[in-house]
Amino acid sequence: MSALPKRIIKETERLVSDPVPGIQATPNEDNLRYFQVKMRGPIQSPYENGIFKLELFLPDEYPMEPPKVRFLTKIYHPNIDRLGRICLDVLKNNWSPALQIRTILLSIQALLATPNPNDPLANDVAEEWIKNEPQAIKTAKEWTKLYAMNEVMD
Amino acid sequence: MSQPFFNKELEVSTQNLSASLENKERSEESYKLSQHDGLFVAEENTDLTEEVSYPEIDTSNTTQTMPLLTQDAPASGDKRTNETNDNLEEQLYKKKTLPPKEIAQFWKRFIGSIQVSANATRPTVSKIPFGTKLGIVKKGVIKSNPARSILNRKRQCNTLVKLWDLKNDRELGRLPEKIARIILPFINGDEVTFDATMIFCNNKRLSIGDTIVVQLNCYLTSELFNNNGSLELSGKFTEDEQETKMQARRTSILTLFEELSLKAIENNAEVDNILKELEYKEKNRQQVECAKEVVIDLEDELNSSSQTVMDIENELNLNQLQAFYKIAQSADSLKTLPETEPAGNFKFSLKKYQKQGLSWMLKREREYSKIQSKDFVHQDSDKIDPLWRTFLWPTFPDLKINSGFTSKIFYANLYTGQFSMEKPILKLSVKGGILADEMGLGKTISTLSLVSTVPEDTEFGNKQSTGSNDNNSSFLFSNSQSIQSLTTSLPYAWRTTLIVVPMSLLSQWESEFRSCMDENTRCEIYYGDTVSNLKSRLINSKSPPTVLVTTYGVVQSEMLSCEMKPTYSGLFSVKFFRIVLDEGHNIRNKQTKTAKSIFKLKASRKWVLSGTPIINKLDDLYPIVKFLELNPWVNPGFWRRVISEPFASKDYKKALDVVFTILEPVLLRRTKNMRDSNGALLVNLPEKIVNIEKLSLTDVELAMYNSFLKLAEKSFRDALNKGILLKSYTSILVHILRLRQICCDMRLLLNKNFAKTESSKEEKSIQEDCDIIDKNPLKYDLEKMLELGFDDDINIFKEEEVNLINENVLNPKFLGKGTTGLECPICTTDSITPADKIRITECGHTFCFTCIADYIVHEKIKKMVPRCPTCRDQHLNEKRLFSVVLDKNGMIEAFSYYKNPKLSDFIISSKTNALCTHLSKISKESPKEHVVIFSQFSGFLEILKEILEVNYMVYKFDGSLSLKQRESILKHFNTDDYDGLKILLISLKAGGVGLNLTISNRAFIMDPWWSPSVEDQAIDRIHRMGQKRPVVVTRFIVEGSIEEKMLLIQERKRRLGDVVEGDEEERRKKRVDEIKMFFE
Repeated sequence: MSALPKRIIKETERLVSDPVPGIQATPNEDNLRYFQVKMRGPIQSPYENGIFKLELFLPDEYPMEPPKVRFLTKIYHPNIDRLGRICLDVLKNNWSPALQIRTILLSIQALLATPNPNDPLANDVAEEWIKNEPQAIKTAKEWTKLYAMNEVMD
Repeated sequence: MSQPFFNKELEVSTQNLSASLENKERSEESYKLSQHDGLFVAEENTDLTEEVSYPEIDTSNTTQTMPLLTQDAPASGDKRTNETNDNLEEQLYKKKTLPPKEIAQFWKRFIGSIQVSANATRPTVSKIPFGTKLGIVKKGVIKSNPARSILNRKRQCNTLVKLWDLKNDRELGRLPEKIARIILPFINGDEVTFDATMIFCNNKRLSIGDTIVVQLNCYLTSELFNNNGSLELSGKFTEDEQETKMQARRTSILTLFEELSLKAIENNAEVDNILKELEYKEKNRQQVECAKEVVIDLEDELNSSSQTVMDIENELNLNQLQAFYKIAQSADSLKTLPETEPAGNFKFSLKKYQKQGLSWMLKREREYSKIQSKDFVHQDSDKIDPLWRTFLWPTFPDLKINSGFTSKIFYANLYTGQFSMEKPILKLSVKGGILADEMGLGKTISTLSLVSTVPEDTEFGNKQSTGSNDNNSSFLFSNSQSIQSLTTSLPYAWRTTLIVVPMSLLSQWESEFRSCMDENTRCEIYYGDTVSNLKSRLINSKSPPTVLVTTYGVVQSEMLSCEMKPTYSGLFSVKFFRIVLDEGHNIRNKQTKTAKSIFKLKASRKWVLSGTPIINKLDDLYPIVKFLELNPWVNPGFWRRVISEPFASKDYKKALDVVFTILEPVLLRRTKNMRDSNGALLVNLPEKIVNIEKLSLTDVELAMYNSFLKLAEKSFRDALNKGILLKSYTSILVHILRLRQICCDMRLLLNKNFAKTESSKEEKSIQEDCDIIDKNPLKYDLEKMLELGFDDDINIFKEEEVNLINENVLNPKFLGKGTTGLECPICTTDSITPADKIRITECGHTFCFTCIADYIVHEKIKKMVPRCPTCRDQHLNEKRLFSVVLDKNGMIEAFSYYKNPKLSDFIISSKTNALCTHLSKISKESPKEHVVIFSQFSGFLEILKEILEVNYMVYKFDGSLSLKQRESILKHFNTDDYDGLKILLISLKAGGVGLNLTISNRAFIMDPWWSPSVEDQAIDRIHRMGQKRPVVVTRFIVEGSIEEKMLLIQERKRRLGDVVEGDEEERRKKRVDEIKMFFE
């Protein structure tokens, strides 16, 4: 493992000293490239009041390559599959080294607020979302209650 | 062992002897029996295939020997035979054609006894009482079955040597193998004799297999001491057979002496101590090696690894090499040798040790009268031959034996099995020797002082001038003679010394000759161009050249052309007065044409100069020994036995011991840090300062470096994961080479001519790997970018484009502002510093140069079109980036960008830049200075030449130069006729050795080499005898680059003392370890 680039140290410092509202990212003590993330569900979304856990990992090539992010908490969302994988352009082709952990997490938070069933990752969820949106939202709320209410932000 | 013929004679003689010896007590059953055996062998030789049974022979001899038996029965101990034997002895020796005066009385001297547990092989009818004399006989025949000979030999000894029941005349028992082996080689002769006495048989009748204890008395006889030449005389046997016999005899004596605890008085205790220490170190090393091997084997799955290990083991490791050179140091010489001033108007004033060296060289040439000291000559004339050992005769005060003997010591050569009562005096057969002074102690000067003192064969000259024309006439009609006879009577160039040197040193010898020698002497360089009249110029001329200098290459090519012709010509057509081989280790491989041709040169005095006579292994010495005709080591079989084989079987003590004994008398080695009798260092060189200057690369270089580094790391990891690190060694080496080149100058990547390294072996495979590696897209771009003004990249900004961008994007956003706050979103630096790192895209976004270049490379490798990381819109190209130009207040006043390059604005690499800074400083401080610059990339030297030539006088010295060019370059550089800096660019490999550049005291080493010794060698070009000023050496190292890691490896090598580069395989293996260091 190569030495930790200055940029990562800097980003981490800033994440801690000047956190994004509703998002909390803590680097692992043993591996400073691995972050545990807690994210508050956006207001007026089916995920409101839920606190979602994610993991975020910065590969060796970061920032040339995007971070790897995954939901740990179960979530009912057309762009997030059962394994917690996230379908988000900035995490893939649209990544740019000018983006940061902070911006990526904000993008994910935004994704929670605006599900995009037309570019789905979890097909069943997307289908439901298109066919019967109220029911889908209801399920999402139930899941939030069921799975995302056990955590608190520090 | 002895000739059958001889033994037959002996047999007869013994009968005569026995008849005339009625009153003499003799207890030589074994002696007599061995005479039987002599006869037996004689018959055996006539009919080897048929097994002759002992009894037959015995009956034929019984009548002859019985009287003796009865006479001698009560005897015990040993008595000398007296004068009555003279007849017999004379008879005996006449056959051997030895001069009568050497015929001594026959005697044998008791040297001790061995208690032996033997096994009964026949039952006996009655018990055999204590004190019964037993016979030792040889029974059976060695069947000559070559295929099984080794197997047989093992079995043979104790089935052949039997204990004999003399009373009943039948076999009694079998001796242990070890003892049988001692006895067997001597059983037919009388050089060493044994008699056996029954000590203990449990007081009962013996059954087969019973253990009996027997006492063996051992005697050395006069035969042994007179019989030294016997082995060489037996011409009946082939060399191999003789070798085997000699070997058996030698082993026998060694074991016997060991059994009897007969030890030599050490001739040289110091050698022994050093060797003991060495063995200890060796043990430790082996343990470490073992541990290492395991690791390596796990990591690479190559089958060849075991082979590699073998190779390593046949070479000297450092400790051994150190031990060798330690032994070889002639520390005493500095105290004991007298000083001799050179004669013949020698113009150079010699240092004290050089005068001593001259004395030594004169001594080696036996020019005693020239040595300016009276008591010197006899000083070591009675030195014992170092192969011989001195033994004390064992004394047995309690036993009444050996009473008639007065001599206290005898001498034995345990390598040949020769014995002598007289002190074997070392014969100085060779005129000449090895001058192995460490580099920089002036071997050249010493040699020239010798030439000046003894320029010709005075003895021969005197003979000629006193009228006897015998010699002369025999020399002159030789043209028509065949080659064979020519070699024996070559015309004698008695006034000429031939000096054979490596090409690069040719002119140096000549110039040193000129500066030291009298004007009346002449030095000619011989290129082989005057083959036809060389002989007459050397022989018939009134004033032949005193010194003829030529190269190994000339000697070799001349030999090749000679082989085609019926007569020898040129160098081979005369016998020189003296030959000197400079850098004599050039002939270290006796198989090479160079070595073979050198062996063919004739001279009455021969010298080898070499600071490093051994490069890798002890065998490196053999050709030198052969050249000097140092008997008996010249015999390859002998060399193999006493040196190669003991060494291969890890008997380092023995091998080094012998090497030392070979060299001690003929080799003189002094090192720089030795002190003379006054305690002063031999060489007091001015101070030497070596500075390492760390440089950082420019942005462009760094980007290029990083892109190549990524490729290299990937290739390394792949290879490591697949376990084929050793196989992909070459390809990784190319990666590393590229990185090293970038550190020097990126242009080295481009031009095939530039890219050449000096290590030609790697060249071929490098070419093959180049294609793969050189696919690095950035390199492709760089090629375009750098190719002098021919960049056809459509991406390059056109002026109209730039104007538009300036107007719309850059000017509004940046112009007239400071650079603080210009951040790089990739490394998240707030204010990019220094400002020249700032790059601005055409969309107006700022980045560090390194970050954006990394990014572009990264995207290109991924086959993606790089876009601006900030706006994700603008396509990026490294040629379409702006950097800022600041005014004196630090405000941005303009934007520069990549323009299609022209020759004039070519990028100067960081190293070149640093060098230029140094040079301009030197030029200010001392405008007429001479500076030496080393690099291993001749392409880099080419680039440097172009750049430096603008301001300075530049000379370039590399392997491509002809001899004349070299000469003229060195001559010009070494003269003080220019008002500015003179710079000599030297390729590390071509000019690292031998050159004398003491006119300069400043050196720059542009790039590190793998082994520190090569760099040290280079530095020694200016830091050597003759240097009067302090020397400053600057080594450029690019910080954080592969070069720093090379420094680490150098350090490690220095620590391990890894001075010796082994063969290709071994080097690879070592380097794989080093490669790992690079990437971890």
